[in-house]
Amino acid sequence: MPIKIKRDKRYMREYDRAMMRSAFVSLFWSVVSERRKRGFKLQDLAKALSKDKSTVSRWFSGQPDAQPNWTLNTVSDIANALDLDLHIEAQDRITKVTYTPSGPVHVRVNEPRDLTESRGPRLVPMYKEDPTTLTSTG
Amino acid sequence: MAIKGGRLIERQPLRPMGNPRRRLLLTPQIADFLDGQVEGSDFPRWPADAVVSRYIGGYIICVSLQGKSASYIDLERLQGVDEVWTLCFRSPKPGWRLLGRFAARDQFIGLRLYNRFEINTRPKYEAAAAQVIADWHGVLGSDEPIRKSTIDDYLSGTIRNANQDQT
Repeated sequence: MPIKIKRDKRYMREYDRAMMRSAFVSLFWSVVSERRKRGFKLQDLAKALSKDKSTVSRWFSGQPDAQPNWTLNTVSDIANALDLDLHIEAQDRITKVTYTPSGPVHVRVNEPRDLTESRGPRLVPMYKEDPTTLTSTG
Repeated sequence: MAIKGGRLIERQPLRPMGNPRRRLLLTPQIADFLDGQVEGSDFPRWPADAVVSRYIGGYIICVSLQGKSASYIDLERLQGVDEVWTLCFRSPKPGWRLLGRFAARDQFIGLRLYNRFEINTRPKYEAAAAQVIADWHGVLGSDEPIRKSTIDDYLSGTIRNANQDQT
């Protein structure tokens, strides 16, 4: 009787890793493929990274289990080679609060204001239950 | 989500994705097979789930429009048959092929699932393709699949064209 595989925590860890690898590969390929329309070549990227063209070509092919497991340094190097700024953010799966390296993201809402307040939209925290995020600028 | 009177189910990625670019619709039987709910199925497998999520999320997939057998191709239009495509799963062994057609851009309808040995010769895959076409009419009636000439006509999102020089 074969062992039945379940989508348990270990399974999801492998899945999440594959999707993370794929997200970076996909992100950089979307840049490369757009630039290729203007004459950019994979070998230009390979040269900038001091890698073989075949290695770089392999990065952007293959199924999720075969995609490169880049270090953060490599991710940074590729972003530099492509002259890109990376923006990092994370979202809490339960509360849906979005975080950036500089803290939680606040959304702008337009709501009736007390006229004594200064003009402009208020910044309201998305995660209202957390009193530490209850900062607003009027 | 059940579609066409429950004859198709929209497949969702294992984790919610911000702005899904593409849709994958499957027969309930195939959905159950991919979930390991059918006797004899070696699914689920995380690489297969990742292929599905990459497709739905608009992430990079390697596509062949003109027939090129290579292990890195994710989605391929079969040659010599009328608009039958295969989405490839390398895992579980021996590798599986989801055969179907595009109802619209970014909307793939998966109708038959074969292990790769079941369709590894031309007569076998032609027979499988004929079955897919018959299933298509059974499920979608007189709707026709899209018949186009470029990958961009079939798919948005990030694509690697397997038939293009990748220098």
